[in-house]
Amino acid sequence: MRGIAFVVNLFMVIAGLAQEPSNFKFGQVGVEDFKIESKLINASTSAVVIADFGEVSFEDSALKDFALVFKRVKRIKIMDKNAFYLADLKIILQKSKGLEEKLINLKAFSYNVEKGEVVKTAFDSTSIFEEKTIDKQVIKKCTLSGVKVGSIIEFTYTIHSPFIFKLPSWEFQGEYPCLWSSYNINVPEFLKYVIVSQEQIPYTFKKETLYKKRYYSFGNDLYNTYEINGKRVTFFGREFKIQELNWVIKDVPAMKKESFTTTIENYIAKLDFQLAEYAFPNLPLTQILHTWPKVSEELMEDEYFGKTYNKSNAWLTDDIRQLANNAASPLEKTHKIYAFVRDNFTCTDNYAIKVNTNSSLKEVFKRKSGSVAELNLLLLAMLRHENISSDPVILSLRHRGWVNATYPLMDRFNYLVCQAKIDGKTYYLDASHAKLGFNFLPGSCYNGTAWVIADKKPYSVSFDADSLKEYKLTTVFLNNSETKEWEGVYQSQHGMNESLEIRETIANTSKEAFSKEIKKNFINDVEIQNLIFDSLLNYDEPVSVKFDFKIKTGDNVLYVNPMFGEQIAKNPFVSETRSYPIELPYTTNETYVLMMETPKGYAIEEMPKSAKFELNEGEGLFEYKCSKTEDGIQIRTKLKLNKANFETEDYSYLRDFFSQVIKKQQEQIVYRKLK
Amino acid sequence: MMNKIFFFIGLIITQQSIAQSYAVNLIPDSLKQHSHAVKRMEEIKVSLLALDKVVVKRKYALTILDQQGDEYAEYMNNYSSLEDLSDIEGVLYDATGKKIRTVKKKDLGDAPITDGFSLMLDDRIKKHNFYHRQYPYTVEYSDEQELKNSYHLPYWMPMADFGFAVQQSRFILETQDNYEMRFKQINFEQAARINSQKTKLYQWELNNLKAIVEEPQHPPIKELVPMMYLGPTDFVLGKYQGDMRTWNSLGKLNIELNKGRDEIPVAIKTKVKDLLIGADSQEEKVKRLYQFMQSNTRYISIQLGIGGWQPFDAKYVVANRYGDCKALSNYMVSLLKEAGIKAHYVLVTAGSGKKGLTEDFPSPYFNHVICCVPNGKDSIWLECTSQSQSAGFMGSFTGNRKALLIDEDGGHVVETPAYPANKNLQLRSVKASIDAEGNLLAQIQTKATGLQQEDLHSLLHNASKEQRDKYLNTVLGLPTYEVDDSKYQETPGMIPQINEQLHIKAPNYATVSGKRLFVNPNLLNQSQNKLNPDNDRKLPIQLSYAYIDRDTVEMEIPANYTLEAMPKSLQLKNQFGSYQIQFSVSGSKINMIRERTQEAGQFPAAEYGNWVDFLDAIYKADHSKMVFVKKEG
Repeated sequence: MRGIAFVVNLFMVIAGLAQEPSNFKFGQVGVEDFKIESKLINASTSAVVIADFGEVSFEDSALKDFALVFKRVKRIKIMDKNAFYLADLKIILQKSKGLEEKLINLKAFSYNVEKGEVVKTAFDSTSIFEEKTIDKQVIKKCTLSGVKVGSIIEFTYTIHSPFIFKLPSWEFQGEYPCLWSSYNINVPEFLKYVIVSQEQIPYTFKKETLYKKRYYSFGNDLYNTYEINGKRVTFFGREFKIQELNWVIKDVPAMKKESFTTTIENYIAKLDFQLAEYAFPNLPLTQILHTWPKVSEELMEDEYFGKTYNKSNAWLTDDIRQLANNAASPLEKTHKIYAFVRDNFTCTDNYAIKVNTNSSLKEVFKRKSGSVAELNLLLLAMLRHENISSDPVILSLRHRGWVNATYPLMDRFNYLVCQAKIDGKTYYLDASHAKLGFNFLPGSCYNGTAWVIADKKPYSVSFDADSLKEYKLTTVFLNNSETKEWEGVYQSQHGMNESLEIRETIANTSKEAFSKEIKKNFINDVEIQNLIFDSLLNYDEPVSVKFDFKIKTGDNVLYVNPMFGEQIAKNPFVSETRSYPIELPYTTNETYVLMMETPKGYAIEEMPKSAKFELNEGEGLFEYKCSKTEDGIQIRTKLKLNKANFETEDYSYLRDFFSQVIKKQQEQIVYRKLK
Repeated sequence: MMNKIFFFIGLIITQQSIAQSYAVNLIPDSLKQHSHAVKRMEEIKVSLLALDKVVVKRKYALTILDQQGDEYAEYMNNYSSLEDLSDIEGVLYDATGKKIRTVKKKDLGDAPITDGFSLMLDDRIKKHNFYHRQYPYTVEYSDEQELKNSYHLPYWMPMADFGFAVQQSRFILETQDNYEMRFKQINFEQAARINSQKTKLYQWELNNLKAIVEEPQHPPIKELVPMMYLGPTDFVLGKYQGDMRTWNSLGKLNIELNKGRDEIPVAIKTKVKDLLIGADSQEEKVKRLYQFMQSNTRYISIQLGIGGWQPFDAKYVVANRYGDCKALSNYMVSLLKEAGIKAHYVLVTAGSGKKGLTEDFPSPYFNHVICCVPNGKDSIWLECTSQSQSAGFMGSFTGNRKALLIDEDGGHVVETPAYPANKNLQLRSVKASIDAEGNLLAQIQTKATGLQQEDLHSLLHNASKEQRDKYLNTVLGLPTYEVDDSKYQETPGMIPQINEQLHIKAPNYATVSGKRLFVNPNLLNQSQNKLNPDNDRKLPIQLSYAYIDRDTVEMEIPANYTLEAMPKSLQLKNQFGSYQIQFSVSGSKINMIRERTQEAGQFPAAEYGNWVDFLDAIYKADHSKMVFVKKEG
């Protein structure tokens, strides 16, 4: 009981509560079922999930092999045609090492009320299509028959999976409201899972039951595949204790993605499972879910991880000599090796923490392409080859969701970068992005905890968006000229994240096209000359943009917006309300400086007043300083957001803050011609 | 004569057997100008060995000059149950022409093709990429396809894109001596060299085609570069045989494909009878049956083998309530037939901005099917894959192009309805008020018709109310605002109309700066279209959408302000259309009237300067502000 004990403790056995809505039966829908009353439904609801049941058990009878059996039943009411796609089923079956999941008992019906009677239509079972994807999954596809607006649709299917260690996750919450979501798992005593419950909504009830079940055999397949200490496992009809766990949430509201969210996965009610240990009869207990030191130890021994860089890799010697022989210091050498991998290799898969099983670093080197893990492990192998202290860092990208704080739940990890320590300084390197600078990580890596898989002892480091600072400095100078025009100089140094975007935009289009965009988007009726980009190809430095411009004067009254195109055009926080936290990609620190001579023959009639407003006592600041100088006006503005992650309640403050900033930035200077 | 043939065949063999050098310094400078990639050589050989066996051998080499050229370096080709793909080979060369690597079988990618809307397609794709990053470099690929039909043949397009030059490209066609093949050459004159022996060999070759620079609002690339289409005469598709010499004979294939697929169940026959009770005109009957079809089916695309051309029968659609464009159009024709109304299955090339069929060259380049009901001079056109479209309206997806109508005697070229500017209206009236803080409240009434109601139509029908509200709160060009009320009213018809009523709140719409108030009276229809001048414009200007916008704005500002600066009213008229805007102020009330007419068509490159100036003037006038000063005391 050890492994699962903490879960059991969470359970209160609540007797007398039904696990399913009393009147629910698959295949039977009455006229009364079409009348759904729920406060979750309003005019904008396109579909309602009436019931979503999942059940997992472990079986040895239905198919010959011992298998994890996942059964799903789902009933949905289609309220408008935007939900028609819910009638297209796509069931993904996994395939690996000669084993594959099997789909059985797929049944699907639609129900319509016609002339007061329910008409039931079965789907065309000859039209189940099979599609093989690139990564060897099999997708079974079909669509329901008889679907129209107002239909109830219903389907059930069962998946027999030989992958008994992978218990499917369950999402209670989705894009549509759900009246009844239930997950039921039946786990034999020899398998112990850790349950990670994202309890965004309290469970309507949870229940635990213990009962006994007789198993006969694990069969040969499992024996061959899992190599349980080289022994064949036979049960000979022994009885085992089964733990049944059931979770139910009723009336689950819909959850939809809003902007400035890393992933909605972090905020929905769901259950994840990770095998902790298994102890088959007559065999010693095998720990699967380990502590980080143990995970790290295994990774070190993995031929597609630690073994790739923890060896001499003599085949690299010549190439490294060629590219880094004349490096004066380890740091310079690291720079050169990093730039070599970044500039000569193409990343073909952004999600991986190991070398692909049919590949090797040597092959990656020849092929000049590989996954993010392959390229960064190659970088690591090259650094290790040169005795530069370096280790892999594994992490979960923002869109994948946070990693578990307590357990090393490995399936969350989907990205690998390289850490190097040189002369007491730590550097983080990602050679998979063609335009990234030395010691910069893409914003998507800033997702909290990451783990350094150091040779001796692993440790965690934190990449928090709150710590990712984005600076921008823009200066504009306007001077009088002989020709009764203002001559202006614009210069802007972008932050590293924006610089990366600019570099990528230019790579995807062209410098000319990007220049044209700048020209088009600068203030109306003004011609730009001498446009220069700085550090466009020096990825370690921020990009800066510089150009000259001229503004005609001459009218009796001149109205000038002193922000010269640097004002925020649109409030980034569009919707009025917000239902979960706001996660910006980085903090903001933008400075704008204007020095502007009063045109000859004019006087300043009106100019904006200085102003300053804060967001939530120091979390953000906008400062607008406007003052007269000897020969004109000086304006200095500062826009700061000191953190990137804000609570749900902060939303309206943020929105108002930006609304105020925009208002202030629209103010104008007025000059009048002297008589 | 014999000599010549020998010489000719000998020449091909000799050229193939000499190893070609891909050294980059052998590319003429003129081909490198404005190029990201240069096709060094290409040979496509199409051998029509039998009507159900066409072998296509392809070999090409591309030099990639810079990073933007990388997209052409990837090899890809399709295969399906009707097309085999084999013998894929590839070699990577460096700038000096030295061989670096070759394709390994396990590096070939294999993926299903997804078009984003079909449930199932049987086409798959093979891909390969050397991922080389040292520019310039050269990739050479060859493959072989075997088509089990002679209905859909490959075409020749040496220049794949803008910024793409061609050093040499050759197209060879081999047919049986007595087979009659048709050709359509576009943008080049050279005739084929023809040689007959046991088989007939045709050969075209183009050399040194300079890259074309991409310019804004250009015509489609396929109208600018040399191209050649093959037109079979006798052909085979699956178990069907046909003749493509004329549109009429080509259409006979569809009669065969659809034969016996129009039978509908008795229950539906009864339903048709019931539906038509009280319908006195043909229009009314069509409308009722179309709406019945729309509300009882949905669009599901399944394209497998011959199913790419042949519809599921009407009974299948009834039983399952779904079908693709072919099945639903066939079903619609069947329903109308039951009602005694003659209707037609019509093949069309769908897509906004796409051209219809080429009248003088019968060929099967269609991707969609619609339904047409002859009705005096105005036929009623029906888009059967939409559950919400008005009967009679085609819109930008299928309107204004030539299509192939299937009648009892074969195919006939017809024209789908066109939508000139005066059918595509957006008439808007705004009543607004601004308070002392610059906050704006506005009541907006918009009437949109024809092509201009398409966006609103999909907003109403293809989005949930929640998505619609979200969209409405981002679509207007105001910095911060909320739509707090929205109402829609739809009037279906040959030219459908949608009326929209919005109420919006826009904090700080007007800028209060010291004692001044800056107001832009043109709240909602500010042109965002600005082009950079180009004195060396080469390509004609393509404007594919004609419309008329009329805006009137009445805006009340706080009473204690007087006018200081007023934008100039403007009136323009030229071949691109017309524009006028008038501003006036009386007391605390601002009035603005704006009208823009945009014509569609192709305009010569020499007019580009005028087009830029026209857009620029509109942009400026649309964005101009009025300035008011607070009265003293």
